[in-house]
Amino acid sequence: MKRFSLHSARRRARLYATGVVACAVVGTMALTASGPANAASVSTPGVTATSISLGATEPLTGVAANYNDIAPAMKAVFAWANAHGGVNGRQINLTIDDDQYTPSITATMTHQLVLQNNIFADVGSLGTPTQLQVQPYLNGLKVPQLFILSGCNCWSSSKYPYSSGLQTPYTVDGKILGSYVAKNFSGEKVGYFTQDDEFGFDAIKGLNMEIKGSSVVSKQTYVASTAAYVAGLQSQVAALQASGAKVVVLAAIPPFVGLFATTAATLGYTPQLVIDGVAGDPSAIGAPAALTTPAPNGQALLNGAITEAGGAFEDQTSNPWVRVATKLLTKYDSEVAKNGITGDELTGFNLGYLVYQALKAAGKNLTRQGLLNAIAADGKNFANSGFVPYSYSSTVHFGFEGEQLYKMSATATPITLPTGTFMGVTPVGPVYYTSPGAGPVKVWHSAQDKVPASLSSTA
Amino acid sequence: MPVLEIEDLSVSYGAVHALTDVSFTAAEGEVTAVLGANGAGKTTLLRAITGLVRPRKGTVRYDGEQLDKMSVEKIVRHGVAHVPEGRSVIEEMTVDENLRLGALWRFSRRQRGPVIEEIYGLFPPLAERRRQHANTLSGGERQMLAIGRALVSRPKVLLLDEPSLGLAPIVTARLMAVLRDLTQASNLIVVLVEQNARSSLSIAQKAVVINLGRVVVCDDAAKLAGDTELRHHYLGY
Amino acid sequence: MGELRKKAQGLAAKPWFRMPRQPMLRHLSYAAVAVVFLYFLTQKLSAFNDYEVGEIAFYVVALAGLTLLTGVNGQISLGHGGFMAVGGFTLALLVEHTKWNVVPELAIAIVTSALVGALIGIPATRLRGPYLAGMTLMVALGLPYLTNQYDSFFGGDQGLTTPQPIGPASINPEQWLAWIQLACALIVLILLGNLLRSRFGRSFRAVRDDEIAASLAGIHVARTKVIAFMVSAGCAGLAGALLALSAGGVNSAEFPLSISIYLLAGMVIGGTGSLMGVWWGAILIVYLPTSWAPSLANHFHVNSQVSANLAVIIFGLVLVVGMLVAPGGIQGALRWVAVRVGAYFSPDGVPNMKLSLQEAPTDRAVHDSESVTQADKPGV
Repeated sequence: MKRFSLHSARRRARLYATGVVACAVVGTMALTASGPANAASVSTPGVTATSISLGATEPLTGVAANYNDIAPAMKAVFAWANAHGGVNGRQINLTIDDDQYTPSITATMTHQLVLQNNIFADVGSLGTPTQLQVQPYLNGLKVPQLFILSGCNCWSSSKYPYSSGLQTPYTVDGKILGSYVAKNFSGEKVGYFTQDDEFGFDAIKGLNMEIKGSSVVSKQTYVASTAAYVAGLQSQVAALQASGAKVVVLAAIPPFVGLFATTAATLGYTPQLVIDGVAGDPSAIGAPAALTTPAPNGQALLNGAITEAGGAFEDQTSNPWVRVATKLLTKYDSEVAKNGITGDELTGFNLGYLVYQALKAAGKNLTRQGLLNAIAADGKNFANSGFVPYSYSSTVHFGFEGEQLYKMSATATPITLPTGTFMGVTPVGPVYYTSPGAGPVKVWHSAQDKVPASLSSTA
Repeated sequence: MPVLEIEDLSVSYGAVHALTDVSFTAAEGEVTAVLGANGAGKTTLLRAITGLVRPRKGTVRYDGEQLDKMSVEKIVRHGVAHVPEGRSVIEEMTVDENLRLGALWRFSRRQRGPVIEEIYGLFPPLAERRRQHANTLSGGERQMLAIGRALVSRPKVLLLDEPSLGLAPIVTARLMAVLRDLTQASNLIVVLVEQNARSSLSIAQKAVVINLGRVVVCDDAAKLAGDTELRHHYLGY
Repeated sequence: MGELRKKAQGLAAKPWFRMPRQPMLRHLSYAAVAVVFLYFLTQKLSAFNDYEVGEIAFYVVALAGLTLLTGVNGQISLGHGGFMAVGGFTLALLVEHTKWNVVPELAIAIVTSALVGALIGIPATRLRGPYLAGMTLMVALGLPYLTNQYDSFFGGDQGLTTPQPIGPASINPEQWLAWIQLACALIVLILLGNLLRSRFGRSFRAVRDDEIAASLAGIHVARTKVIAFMVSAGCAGLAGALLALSAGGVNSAEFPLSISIYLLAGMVIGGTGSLMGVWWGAILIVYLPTSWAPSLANHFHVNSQVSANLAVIIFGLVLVVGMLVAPGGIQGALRWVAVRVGAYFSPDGVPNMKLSLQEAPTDRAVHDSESVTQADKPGV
């Protein structure tokens, strides 16, 4: 058997090393010679004389797929705008990518939107973990990441000026609910039931600003996963019951609010429920319309529960915004044409109209910085379907910062949807607003924005 | 002269006393045969010497150093090599790799080659199969490999657990001959656990008979082989 | 056909080229070929595809580390997403507080995660099977969560930024990043390839196959396991740091449990214990959830709940079916085919196993394998 001598092995090693280095050098030279000229175009990415391309990543499938009708409603508003001459003469093209509510997929899809679809801005993408994942990337490239559908406090910071949120921050939700509890249930023992992530953390931050720490007797959490849902909430509800809490504040997503109510009913526990606006829609929880005798599990509890919402419910057809949205979406959104409008589609409508107004305000000479400037300067005046105006300014990147309190009630007019008839709600007290920071919860006195004539006449 | 010294060694598995107060010494250049029926505690004795089980009481000393508190690797690195029952080789590795493994801690990369060649000299059938995976070897070859891997680190104490189990008589005889020569040539301390008393007594200088975990006889091998009554009683031949 | 076969056999009998026997040289020559191939590949691809190639590269790094731990050393880990988080956050903290170059930052990310790997690896030496899986699972769940608890240090929900490294102006940033990531992948593969051929590699395998035999051969079993854990965690840390560069930042949501699970599945499907197989696993992890599964779902119009889980379902199916028909994963299956093809063209029609495996053939290889069943030859 032939073996290398040490000497020849070393020589060979040197030979190979030289070969590798040579390859690398040749490669680099070839590259610097023929490297693709970086098309440093002076024009703004995603904008031509006749078009603007936008992108959004949405959970069209997966655990959060119940939100998959928001983005099509936004797209329908763009279809309306395009049918009426576009924005400053440009047609809006929206690419919606499915990220399955999975951060790693959001990253890939967002890279695809930026690098391949060459989008001008990312608008109305949904989800806290998913959008956090791409926040540094988009900001690093100065691609606007606007009107994120999430109430995380993280969308308004000087560190990431290209980001902004739309939904009321969870801390504001918490402050408004907390002040109601402090006022109406003072002296009662209070318990928290919150989601174990930034949704819950931010909500607790707000609650703690208003509710005295000594009156909070139990803080229970859950993990938002299918496994946790299947495992049930027996231990959390039992702990709250044992603590003697007469009022329970829930910062939870709709399925877990429903599960909480049924679990409490089977344990014979009947506290006053106060529910964060995330699950403020009885139809999303699946609460039946009227009390029957005997009451189904959980229903009695939800009857009388306090909750909150930023705008009118879809069945309040006397509301002009609901009317115009229904009319526009029935024409441009096949889903609404088929099944009627839901709260999510109202959100999508409002979102689309916000993007439209912002693009319009940015003017004919559209740039990314120009768009941000327009929102900072003019955002407060954009018309919206909520009860309070937008808070956008150069420093505040939150959309809504106010809520109307509601009471779920078996005697109110039921909410009727294609999927069933659900418990109705009645407004409680005035509209409140506040910021996520320190500072009091104040009453908002002005009326809702009027529907602009340009919208109502063409919808 | 360094000896392997076992004193009052007791091992229990839960409530079962596997060994009770076992004492004997094994000297250099000698094969000490440990004999006894199935379940007498012979395997436990070897496992206790290399630290694979911890004694409840008693000591194991080699060359004045107490082994029974050391970790397995440390005992091995003190020159105690153990060939467990069942021809334990690493099946996914080649013959050569198995032998290299045994020499890893003891010799530098350059020294390993010649040391391994020595083992091939001792067991020529292994040399022919050096690049084959150990799981393709026959029973005898595996046993050679297991012993070879123990010897490649040049141990001073060699513990062998039933090396003849399942081997043809002629192979056993050859193995025993190699062991005898090796013991004398390298001045090894060999502790040989065997059920096959006849073949092990043929090369042993000393014999320890264990029954139900206790030493019942500790004497010259030749004397034991000559004592018909004892042989009948404990060894069944 | 017959003539072609004869011709091919003639060629096979006299190989015009033989890979060098020394591991380092062999691995370097593989790498040289890979460098040339990947250079032209990244040149041809679009910026977005370059980004995906970079993703493949960092998953290769993570999978190589995992396959060393699980495939070679026999310790299972469900916690590699956690080690990736350690690497990612280390890099981000260095970016935040220093002005260093990316190379030392990556190096420190490796060291830090290797040290955390040692912390986990030491108690892990006493655990095996489901208990080890459970403990490492806690790493995957716990470490990212910790960053939320000390949010002033780790940047809270938003986490920390890691700006994409910028190369020469003539090279677009995605391509530059892909090169950095590919370079790391190739270096890791070369180093691990050599490690596996060294005394450590032999100790790793010995401990996996038979701990008692290994300890009786004088190998320090616990130390070997901890070293394997450290090397593996170091690789995962590097992968996490490279992921952070791709993402532009790190936060706790970036390293969900699913990363750890995908890594495990990718490793098994690629071929457990195979350093070449990790490429297949990485390609699958990158393309299956974002590209292949959605287009499949589109094509067959499956409902939304199924389509979101399609990637996981396919992973599971491939895993089960693969284990039954090709336990060596994709790489094992390719090797099997190569051996059969080699047998067809080799002069005596006998599979020339050794050529396709690591060792150069010896003259007696075939003769030896036939004589296995013979009685022991006299020789002693």
